[in-house]
Amino acid sequence: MNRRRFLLWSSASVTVISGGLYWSSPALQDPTGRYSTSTLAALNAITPLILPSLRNDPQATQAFVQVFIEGIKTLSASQQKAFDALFQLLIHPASKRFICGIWSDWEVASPETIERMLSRWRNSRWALLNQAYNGLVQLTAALYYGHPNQWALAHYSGPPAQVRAALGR
Amino acid sequence: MPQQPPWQQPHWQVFDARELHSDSLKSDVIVIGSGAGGAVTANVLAQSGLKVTLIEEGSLKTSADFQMEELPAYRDLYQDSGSRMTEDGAIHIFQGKAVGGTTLVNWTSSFRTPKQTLDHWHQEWDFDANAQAMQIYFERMEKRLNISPWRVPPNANNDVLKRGCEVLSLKHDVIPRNVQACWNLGYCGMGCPTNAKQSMLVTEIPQALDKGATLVTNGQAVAFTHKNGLIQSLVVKPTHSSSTSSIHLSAQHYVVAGGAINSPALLLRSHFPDPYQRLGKRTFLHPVNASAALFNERIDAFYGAPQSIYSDAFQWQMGTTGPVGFKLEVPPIHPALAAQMLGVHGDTLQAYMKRLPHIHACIALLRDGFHEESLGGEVRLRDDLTPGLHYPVTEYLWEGFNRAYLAMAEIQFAAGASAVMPLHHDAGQYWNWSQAKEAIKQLPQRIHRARLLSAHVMGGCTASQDPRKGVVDSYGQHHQIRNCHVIDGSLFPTSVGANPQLSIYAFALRNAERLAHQLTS
Ligand SMILES: Cc1cc2nc3c(=O)[nH]c(=O)nc-3n(C[C@H](O)[C@H](O)[C@H](O)COP(=O)(O)OP(=O)(O)OC[C@H]3O[C@@H](n4cnc5c(N)ncnc54)[C@H](O)[C@@H]3O)c2cc1C
Ligand code: SF4
Repeated sequence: MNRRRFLLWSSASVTVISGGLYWSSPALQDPTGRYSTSTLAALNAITPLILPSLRNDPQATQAFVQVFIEGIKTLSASQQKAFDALFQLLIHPASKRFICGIWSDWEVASPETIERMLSRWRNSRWALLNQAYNGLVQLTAALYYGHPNQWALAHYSGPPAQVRAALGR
Repeated sequence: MPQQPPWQQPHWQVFDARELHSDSLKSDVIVIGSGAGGAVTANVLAQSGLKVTLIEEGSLKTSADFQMEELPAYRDLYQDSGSRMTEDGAIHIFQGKAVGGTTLVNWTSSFRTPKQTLDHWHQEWDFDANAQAMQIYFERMEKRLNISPWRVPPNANNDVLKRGCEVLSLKHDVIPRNVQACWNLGYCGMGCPTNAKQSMLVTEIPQALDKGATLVTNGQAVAFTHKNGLIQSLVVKPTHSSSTSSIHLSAQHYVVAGGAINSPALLLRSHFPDPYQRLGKRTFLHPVNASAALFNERIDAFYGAPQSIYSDAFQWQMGTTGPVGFKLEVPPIHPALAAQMLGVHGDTLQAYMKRLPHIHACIALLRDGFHEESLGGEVRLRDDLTPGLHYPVTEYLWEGFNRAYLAMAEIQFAAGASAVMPLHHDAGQYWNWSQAKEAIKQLPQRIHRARLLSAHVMGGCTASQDPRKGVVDSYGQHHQIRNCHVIDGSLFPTSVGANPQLSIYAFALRNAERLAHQLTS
């Protein structure tokens, strides 16, 4: 099977965040469109807590974070803005402490603290945090399990071999 | 072997919008959007001898491109790469964007417009249609698209719905599908790789091209220029061009068929007169909630015709305009969509994904727009002129979602589920019906907690003979702009109360034939 380009898709729309919490903040992207090291550090720290099979595998985690970032770039402008706002939330010193509950640098944040953040966001009565959780977790999960390399984790063997052969795929 | 894709005929006129210059195409009619409404319209007009240009903002992809993989399909074939949502992020919206429109990726269920719906439109919306007059159009489209009830046994995912309904004595039936020599694979949502699905890509569009219609791909209709109630030209921007330059095309008549959300957006960008403030209002979604269930046996909901059994037991039970009715169906479940819909992370996500072959899911499609409090949503333009849908999830809908969670869980247990999980952040895994029943009643009615979606967007250019109630008349003629029709799902005054494609085909056939007659006589 062809190795497919990575892509797309989310259920993000964290538009409320972009409306409400757009502080002036450290730049998310450098002028070439690459995400700042602090954004990447946050994503590298959070991703293995969403996807346990990436735990203890920083290389695979970093590779997937690139996939995730490429995926965001295929979304509509309004969705991309929503993700930018979400990333602000992760890296701005004030929101990082008081909304994410992370007092250290992301690089050294303990898995327990990050897990606590995810659970709190999911279970919060504050719709904004539910929405941030949904955006982050759902896009991550879809991009990860949607790729053929991960299908086996879901015991899905893809289109049956004889079908692929008959169709020349 | 699959049929050769019919996309290599030397006499066909197919262009990428980048290849065009202003006024380089001479046409009688320009049709915008190549989905259910636009393709049928273009074909009818072309068959009557009119010179038609069909403009599509998506790309031309054919069976040879379809890899049976979710992620490339969402990226290439869906609006906003599959990430479209209502403006508050509460409801995830799936719509197509490619030659063939949403018919390229839909799940092939083909229902006639219910009689209750047609009666309601006639009585409440001055909509000129009734079941008897429409019958011939349904029959003709069923014939054109080879629609008939699916004769093959349902896959295990659909069979759960069937068994559950049987045990509970709930009315259910087999779904008619628009397929020919279907391989029963289950990849309809990613583009049919065998050309079995009778989407617009392999039916109406090739026929129109044979009759001399021109297809323009990767060209977005940005806005019309108009004066004194007449469109003068259409501004088209190539989707894949880095330059901002656009071209002007003109014709005698224009048909807008970009689908709900996009069609009203085009008219909004064009500043069409809207004396009664109807444009973009009453956009409906058949909002969907879902219930997953675990079975000891394999369900393999990723394989087999995705939808073959439905139940309308809860659809009209409480009257046409009473508490919201819903249709019960099942979705195909592939890994990306499943991982997303589960809405969990970490070990819980991994544990569920490991059991993917044992997961069944049921969906309820709520019939919005019939009750006077069910006003649907409103399409408004964002600052960058892209459309956003403001769709409040009201108490009226929550009451329906709650009943639907209950109905789905009961059916799943009746069919032998070992556990049921309503897709809601506050729901757990329930091990029996009485436990589920108590817990579901307590579920908070809050957006971002219930996982809601829509694959059926309708309305926003309401059709009514009364200009105070509608944007267009029942035949799609715009009330204020004389050389403009809207012919797609956006003209329905409420949701359909059944998967909408056949309704759109049949009304397009009727309305386009009338338009062809007007333009040729
Ligand atoms: C996953 C999925 C499964 C579905 N399954 C079923 C099913 O089983 N049965 C059923 O009845 N229905 C189903 N539907 C819904 C059904 O396919 C749609 O309701 C129907 O195709 C809508 O027809 P339409 O003509 O209104 O618009 P569409 O078919 O969406 O076509 C509109 C086209 O216009 C193009 N366009 C929009 N704006 C512009 C512009 N400005 N310029 C140029 N082009 C433009 C779009 O790119 C698109 O290709 C499903 C939908 C989805 C997403
Ligand atoms: S189930 Fe049939 S129609 Fe759907 S993708 Fe497979 S062959 Fe095509």
